[in-house]
Amino acid sequence: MTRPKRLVGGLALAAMLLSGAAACGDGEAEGTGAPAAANKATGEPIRIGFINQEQAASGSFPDLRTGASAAAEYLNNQQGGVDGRPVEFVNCTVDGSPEASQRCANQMVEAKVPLVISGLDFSGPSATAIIRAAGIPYVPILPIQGTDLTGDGVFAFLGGSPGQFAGVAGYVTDEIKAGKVTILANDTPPGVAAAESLQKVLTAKKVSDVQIVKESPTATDFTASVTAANDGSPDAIVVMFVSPSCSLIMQSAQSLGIRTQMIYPSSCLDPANLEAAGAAADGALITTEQLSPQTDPDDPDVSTLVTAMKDYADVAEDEITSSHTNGFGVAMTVFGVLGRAGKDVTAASVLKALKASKDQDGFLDDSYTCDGTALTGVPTVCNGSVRIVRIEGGKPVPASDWTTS
Amino acid sequence: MDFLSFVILGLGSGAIYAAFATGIVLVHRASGVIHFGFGATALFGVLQYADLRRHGILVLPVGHIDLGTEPSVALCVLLVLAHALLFTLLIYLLCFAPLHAAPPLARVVASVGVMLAVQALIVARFGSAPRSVAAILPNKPVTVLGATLPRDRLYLAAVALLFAAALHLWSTRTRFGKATRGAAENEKAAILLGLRPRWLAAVSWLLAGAVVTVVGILIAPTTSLEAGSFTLLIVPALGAALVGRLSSVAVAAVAGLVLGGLQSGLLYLTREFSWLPQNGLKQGLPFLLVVLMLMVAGRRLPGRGTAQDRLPPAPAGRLRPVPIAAAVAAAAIGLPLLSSQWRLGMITSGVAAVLCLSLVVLTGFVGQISLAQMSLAGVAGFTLSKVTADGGVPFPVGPLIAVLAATALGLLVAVPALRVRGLHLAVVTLAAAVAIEEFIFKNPKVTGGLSGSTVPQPEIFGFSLGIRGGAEDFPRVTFGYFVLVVTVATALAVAALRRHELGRRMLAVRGSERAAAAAGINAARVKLTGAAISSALAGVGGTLLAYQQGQLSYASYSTFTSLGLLVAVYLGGITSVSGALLGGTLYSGGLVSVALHEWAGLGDYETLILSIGLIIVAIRSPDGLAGLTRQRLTPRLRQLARRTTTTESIAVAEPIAVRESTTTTKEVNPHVAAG
Repeated sequence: MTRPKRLVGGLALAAMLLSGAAACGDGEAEGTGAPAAANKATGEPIRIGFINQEQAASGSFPDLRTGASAAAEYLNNQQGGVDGRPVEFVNCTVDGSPEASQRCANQMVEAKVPLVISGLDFSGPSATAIIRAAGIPYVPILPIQGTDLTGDGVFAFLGGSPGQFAGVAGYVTDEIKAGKVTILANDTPPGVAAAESLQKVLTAKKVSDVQIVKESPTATDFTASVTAANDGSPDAIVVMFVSPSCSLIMQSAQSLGIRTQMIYPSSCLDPANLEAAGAAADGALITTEQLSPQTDPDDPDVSTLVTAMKDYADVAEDEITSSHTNGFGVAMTVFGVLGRAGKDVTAASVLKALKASKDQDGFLDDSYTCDGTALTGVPTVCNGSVRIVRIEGGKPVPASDWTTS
Repeated sequence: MDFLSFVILGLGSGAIYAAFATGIVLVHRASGVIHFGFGATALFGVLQYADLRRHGILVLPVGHIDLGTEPSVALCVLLVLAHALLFTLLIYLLCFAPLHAAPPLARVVASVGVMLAVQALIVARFGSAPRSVAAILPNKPVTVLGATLPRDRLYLAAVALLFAAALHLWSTRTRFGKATRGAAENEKAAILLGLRPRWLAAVSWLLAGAVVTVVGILIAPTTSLEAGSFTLLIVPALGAALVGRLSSVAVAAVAGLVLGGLQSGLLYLTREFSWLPQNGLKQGLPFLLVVLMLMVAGRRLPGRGTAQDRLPPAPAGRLRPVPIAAAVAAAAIGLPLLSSQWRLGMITSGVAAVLCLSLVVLTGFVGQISLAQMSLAGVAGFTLSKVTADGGVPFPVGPLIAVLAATALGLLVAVPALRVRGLHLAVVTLAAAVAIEEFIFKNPKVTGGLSGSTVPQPEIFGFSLGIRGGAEDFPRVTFGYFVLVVTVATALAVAALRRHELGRRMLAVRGSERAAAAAGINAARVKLTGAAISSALAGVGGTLLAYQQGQLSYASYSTFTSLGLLVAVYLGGITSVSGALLGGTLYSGGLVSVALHEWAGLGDYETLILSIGLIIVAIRSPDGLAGLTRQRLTPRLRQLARRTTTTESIAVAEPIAVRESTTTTKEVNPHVAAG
């Protein structure tokens, strides 16, 4: 099989442009404040794949890429890259359809990248099958379904929904001491499956009454479903909807005068969401998987995040979303793994380094171990620990320590 | 909290259905179009409002205007409304005014094209940052009939009803309104009376656009502003519009409110009665409503253009063995030589061609519009997954069972559809696609929850036909050949069908059911046979798609894939096999898609480009690009060939030339060309 020269030429040109851009460093950053490179990487670039869903009617998540790219820029300019080699992303956009995911996966295999990171891809399993068949490890930043959670050679540094809800179960039983819980679930197969697995966990922890109320993620009005969830006066309502639906749910709850404790997933911590919800957010509990500028402004990892996002992505501190943080944190963690992949960074050596990761420091996160034991029932997750925060006066305040399921 | 309380809670959603239904009825009465794109155009206005209010920037389809300050709510609404009026007028003049006398298929297709194009435009212009709109109407809670709800829901319902009442009075009491209704019913008489039907229709469109935009903005603080979902709010609105028999704005609006309430009431019912299906009932309700209305009131619904439909010609498809063999050989040689991306594109094109062929049979030959072909394909795909992955059924049997399942469902759906035609059939199939997606594809029992539905690779006598596996590059050439064989076989079969007596009967039924019946053709049986063949083809396509993807989810055969398929096959040419093959290349992921990504870097704008292309083709050339080729290119090639022949041959060729020119001229329109 011959490869058309155009494709190779195109990739070579892209690589040269990327290298040129990386070499020129500061000048090409969007903001005017990109600082001089303190420790510039000048070796041969390590090119890793980045697949992300953008420009799609079903959902677009460019912030994941923005965060990861800022991390790469920071690494290449301030930390000397990985062993002196800059990291570059081979980017490919999907639109949620399986054809697009297969196309991007194909592109990655042809580019012979040693690792593929994906931000969010509704057809992730289609891409994973192709990437894994070529022996390349796959890192979904936000794992949602299928092989994201159970695939071989797949490594997730955030627990996603399964991770967050395992943490919630612990808090609900130990801190709230709830006897009756309602889950407001997302009416899609992965959403319902996640709700049912949380139901099982809660029942096993002796919560006697666990109800599930389902609502379509495309609902026009959450008033009815929130009312239904509060029916029967549960001790807690676990909400499984992400931003921007969470502000709508928060507002519904406030309008309806609901006093029941409501617990939300991490993306509801987004500044835009809290702003939209306003006073309706107060008293809400939010599960978080990473450190953030709102909760831990003094942490060194957080300082790096804030600085890098400002310098290399022109995003101010109060505009940093959870997606930015997800992308940045996982990217930096992955760069750490690349550093342990030896002199010759290949798919095989990266896979080996991933599998051997034990009690390694996570960036913006707790430590991680990739032997399949971090989160029960979800072997791809390397780090399932979460923290709960409470919103008080529009600001998050820690309400628990790191807990693992 | 009882059933009635929950119904009250649904007034918010009901208000948006009422507004959209009002728009649909207005526009249908004025120009005979059922506009599927109101959701998308309303959302464009809402997002414009959000950006204008927050940042003082008015985003236009091309470019933007920076106002420098953040305007007040009233000013924002005014500006967005002004833009919406212009936008709606433009859409009407460019896309629908030329289709006034066009057959229903063209009008449906143009409407779908506008819906997809505006949605793609929204994604391109507004990107993805989630937007929320601050409350506009007062929203302190109030208790009504035991239900506590924010009072803005009540205001919304009131606003929607107010608009509907005003428009109802306008259309029945004012001269202008009555003139519009008159002109819609009889254009010729209207012209003779000195009225201008196009002008009147434009006014109706503007009013519809205004209502839909204003209510959309008012409802925005309470809903999720996601492109895909907002666009599909049109489906419940269609149900409500049908209750109003597409002619009464007041009834449609009330029906919309009731529907919103009922959907909310279902939340109560499904918890009270656990034997009710626990998912999908909410979306299934509009579909049931649509079916009910069409069966009950079908005959009394106004139809347009049923007497003299200018339908695109379906060519007789002389099977010339040499070009066919050459094409197949080229494909066979090309498969191993192409790069992975292009090979994948070719495989996708082949699979899509089979799906397009199913629409060629159903719509091109039998004349029935379907916006739910991919739902049938999906039934086959998921059946395949269930019987092969869970049931362990081996290769040729598994796909056969899957195809049978699709055929069975297709026939089941075709029986009640016998009484429905044209635009109404489009509406019912769209509602069906949404219902099937919610009811079946999103049902965890069917689709396997978190682990999804795997489709094991096909293998025969130990030899793998699959798309991946072993050391070979993805996609495997063997799978490519498998798809090639199936595609060629189905294409030849459909071509043979066209030349067979059954094919001619189908075309007779398409042309005029009454005339066909008068000639002794059993129209019902022909339609059912056509539906069976088409569903079987959709099943074959769905099975191939399942093998190609290896892992299915509810998005694999979504409503939007059905619309995308219609776009592709209409562009290619919905009445011919070559049109279907061309359509296959245009389908998402096919050869044209690969070319757009690799050569032009325009991959992100694929949907936008194709939808606009679709609208142009619907207006200019109803038999698609294949038809254009046939009309323009082939006669010229033949002329070229003829010039090199001897005089004897020319003498013989002349009568042939005369015959050919008759078949290629456009059918003369007996209507007087209206304003």
